[in-house]
Amino acid sequence: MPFNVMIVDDAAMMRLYIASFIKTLPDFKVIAQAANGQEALDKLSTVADVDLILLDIEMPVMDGLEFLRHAKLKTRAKICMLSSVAVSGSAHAAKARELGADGVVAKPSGTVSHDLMEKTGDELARTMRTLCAA
Amino acid sequence: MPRPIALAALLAGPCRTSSAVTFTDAPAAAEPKPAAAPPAPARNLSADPAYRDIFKGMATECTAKLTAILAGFDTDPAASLSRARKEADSLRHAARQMGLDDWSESLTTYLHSTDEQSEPLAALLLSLAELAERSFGTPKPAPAQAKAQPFFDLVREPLADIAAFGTGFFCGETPDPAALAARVEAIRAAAQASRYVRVDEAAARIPATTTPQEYHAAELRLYEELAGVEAVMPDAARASGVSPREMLQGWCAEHVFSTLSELEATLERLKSGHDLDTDYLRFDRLMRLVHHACGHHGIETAGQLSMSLIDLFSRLHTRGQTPDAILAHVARGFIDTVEIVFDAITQGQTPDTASLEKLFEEASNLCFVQDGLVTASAIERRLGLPREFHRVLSPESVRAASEAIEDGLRFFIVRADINNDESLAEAFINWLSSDVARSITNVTVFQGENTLFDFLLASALDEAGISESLAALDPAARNLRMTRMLVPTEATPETAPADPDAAFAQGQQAGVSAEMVEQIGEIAASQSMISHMLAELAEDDLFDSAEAIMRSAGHDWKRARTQMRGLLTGYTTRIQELAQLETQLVGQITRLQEETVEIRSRRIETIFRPLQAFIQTYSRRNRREATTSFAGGELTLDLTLLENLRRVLRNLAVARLELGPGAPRKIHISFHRDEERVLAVFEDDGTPAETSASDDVRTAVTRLGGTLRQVALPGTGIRVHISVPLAMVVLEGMVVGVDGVRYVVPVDAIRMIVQPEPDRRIRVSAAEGREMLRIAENEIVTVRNLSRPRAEDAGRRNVYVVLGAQGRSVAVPVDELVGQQLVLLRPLKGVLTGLPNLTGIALLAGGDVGMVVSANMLCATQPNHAGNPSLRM
Repeated sequence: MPFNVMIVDDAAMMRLYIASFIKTLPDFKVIAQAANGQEALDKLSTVADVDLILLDIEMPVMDGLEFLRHAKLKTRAKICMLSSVAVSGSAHAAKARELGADGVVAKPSGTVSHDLMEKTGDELARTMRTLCAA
Repeated sequence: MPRPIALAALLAGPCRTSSAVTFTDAPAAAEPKPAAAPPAPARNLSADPAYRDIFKGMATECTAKLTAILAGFDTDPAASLSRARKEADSLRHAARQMGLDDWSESLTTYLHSTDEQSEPLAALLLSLAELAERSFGTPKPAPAQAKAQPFFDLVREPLADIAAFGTGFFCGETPDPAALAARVEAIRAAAQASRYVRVDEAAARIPATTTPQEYHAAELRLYEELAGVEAVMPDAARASGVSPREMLQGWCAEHVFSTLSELEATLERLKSGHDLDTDYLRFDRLMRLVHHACGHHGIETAGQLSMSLIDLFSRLHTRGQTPDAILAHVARGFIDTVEIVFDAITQGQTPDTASLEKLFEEASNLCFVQDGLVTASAIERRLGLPREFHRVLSPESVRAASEAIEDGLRFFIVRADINNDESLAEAFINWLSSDVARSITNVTVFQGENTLFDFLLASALDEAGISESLAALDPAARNLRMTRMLVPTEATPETAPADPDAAFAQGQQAGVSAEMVEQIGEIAASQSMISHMLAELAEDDLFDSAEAIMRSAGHDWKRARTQMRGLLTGYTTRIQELAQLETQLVGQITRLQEETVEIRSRRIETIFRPLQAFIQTYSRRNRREATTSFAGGELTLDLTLLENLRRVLRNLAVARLELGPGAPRKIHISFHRDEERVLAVFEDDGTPAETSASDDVRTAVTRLGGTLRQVALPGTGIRVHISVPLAMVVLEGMVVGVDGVRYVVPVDAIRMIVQPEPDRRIRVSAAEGREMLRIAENEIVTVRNLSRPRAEDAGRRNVYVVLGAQGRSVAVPVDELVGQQLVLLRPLKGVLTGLPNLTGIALLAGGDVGMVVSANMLCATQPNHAGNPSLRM
């Protein structure tokens, strides 16, 4: 049984890149997507059995950190921040860890976003597997 | 609750396009705003009881959501305002359709308010409560968080009982299982009602614990989960008079020193890489406890740094790697600094957190350093990037920016509002992907409900060229505009502080005097001169020169002799000059080495006051005040060794002070040192007892290469002898060779060097054939080999170095005496700490590593010659 993934990112193109990447991983399946934290919170109450949430930080309406604060109360799903500002040891990454992010991965920023698989693929897949296995 | 699909179909306003959409769905971000004046309803639905009920449900739900938004308003005012307006707008739309004008007016007043603070929302909630009471007879809820408050009311008392059970458990009173289960069930029921799944799970773990430690760990987990609820609803928690966050932080602050000690041990284990999974998880757990402790005292930088380190270590855990030297250094620095900060707080002083800021900067830059890149902050400085671009540059962006600077490009920030214009977005992205401009990174900018982007880009174009290019893409200049041009400045060193006072302070901290800088300059000049002279000598071919002289003299030695003498004399003179320079260089380096060691030396008494204050505070907390006295404060030690010793003594004091009624009231600590070791003697009048904490102290001492011996004193009390090898001291040593290995023997310990006649070497059959050496008519000493003796060595070695320490002597056979020199004693680390008869290692002239021999250890097992007449003849 593959692990169920929810992607939360305000950029439709990035959601597409991430979903395409996850399609290459046989042990994961995207079952929901949301464009901001509020939408993701709403979906969490209707979509059952989410195992892993891949979450952007900078989003309108409700950002990833605020979502994390709320979602950690009501879901057992592992939450992995996947954001261009979550560079190792940075203030954003530290805040995400403080609020309970189970994993943090820095994705390429700007117009190099389409390099997701090349730049971040291995690390993201490894992190996803580690979190779901825990 | 069934969704009002029928009502939605009936009342769908102009912004609703699907009958499946309900009023309770928030409009999508990109959805156009609802029209200002919807068409009037065909009839007033408010008179219909069925529709009134449905509207009542919607109003209740909306009020609850607005209450929750108000509770968390301050955490993100912009997002809260946006969400509140969406909720209010949805309810207003329904109110208009229902013909409830008073509702519609209140909501419109709120939506038209230009005040972006939380007050208008609070006013709206009061207004909605009154309207609900008037329209439906609903009693007014409490002013804020009426829905959330009961949760904390429900958990307050069970939580207090669970804490009391925990305290009792530590004092030997096992909690009554039925009573404990009842309290846990009360918390679980409250959590299940609010769907707080993690609180529920954390509470469920408590009854399964069997030891006080397990109980406490489970209790802390519960506090952590409850603190998460409190973070979302702080007002509700405050109203109920319970704060799990404060309870958690208070406990962590109280136990921070033992947590730091465990953290240090875990870091050491992590470096060895034996059980990475266990140790990384433990590191994460302990670091979180330190984070909470920092929160108790409001030390934000330390709290943030602890989380940064969790992040850095977690990523290594995912990769299955051990921490590298730089990361381990930062983590160790963090532990030491936080310990000092908490020490200062314990003594009622204001802690200096400047070094934490520096560590945080190091941690933030680690990923760049590891990749061999300039750091993000270096790029931020060079480009003068505005605040929104700080700490967001990824390694790829830093690389792209560095290359653009090297290529001499200019930098620009372009604001793009392209979310709603796909063709413009595509054209802009194509332009960014062309040769004209390079995108470095972009950040998101939220303006009301609009999502904009600030792009940092580099280009060979000037300001006018960029404006022209953007105008070609967006002629009206409404969606694309250049906001700033940035000019890279010259690179500055990573560590150069901008503030001259800070630079001075940094210099003072490092302890580098002007004289030392001059000495380093002289050493560099001497080394350069030696290098130049060696190069000249290497270029000369002495044989060619000699042959040329012989050839010009017709191979007649007598004719060539004068010239040949001149050639060889010149060559010899240059070698002598080289030797003189080298001697001078050695002298300069020795002086510098001594001064450096001097700078790192501190009088032992510098740790007296912190130790005394700590013991006093700690013993008071345990309701059994202890007094402390010291001796030996005038001795000096290397500051790292001193710090390690302070930590060991403090942990030993903690172990003793936690003995309850048997805790000491008097503690005396004295220090002694010789050429090789420092001895700290800890004496107290408490009950002699072995505890697990003293095992930790023993482990820490062993890690320092030292030994710990504990004896019970007559009556009551204990004496603990802690002996630790000296480190970072300059030693006058005799370098000797044994089996190809270099050893350094402290000159002060050498009694004599002898080359005895064969008949002076004696084998004593009564002592299992042990070899002895007669060094005087009335004195014989034991022979101790530095390496395993082999049969072929018998009789080969005839030089003995006789060492004396503590009134005892031994003779050490050596292959050669290399010479005398000053060496810097470095401590043994890792497996080397187990090597017998050695105190450390030293780097020798010529680059060899020498093992520094401990005269004390070698002589320790030998009979005291003064007190043993059988050896004195």
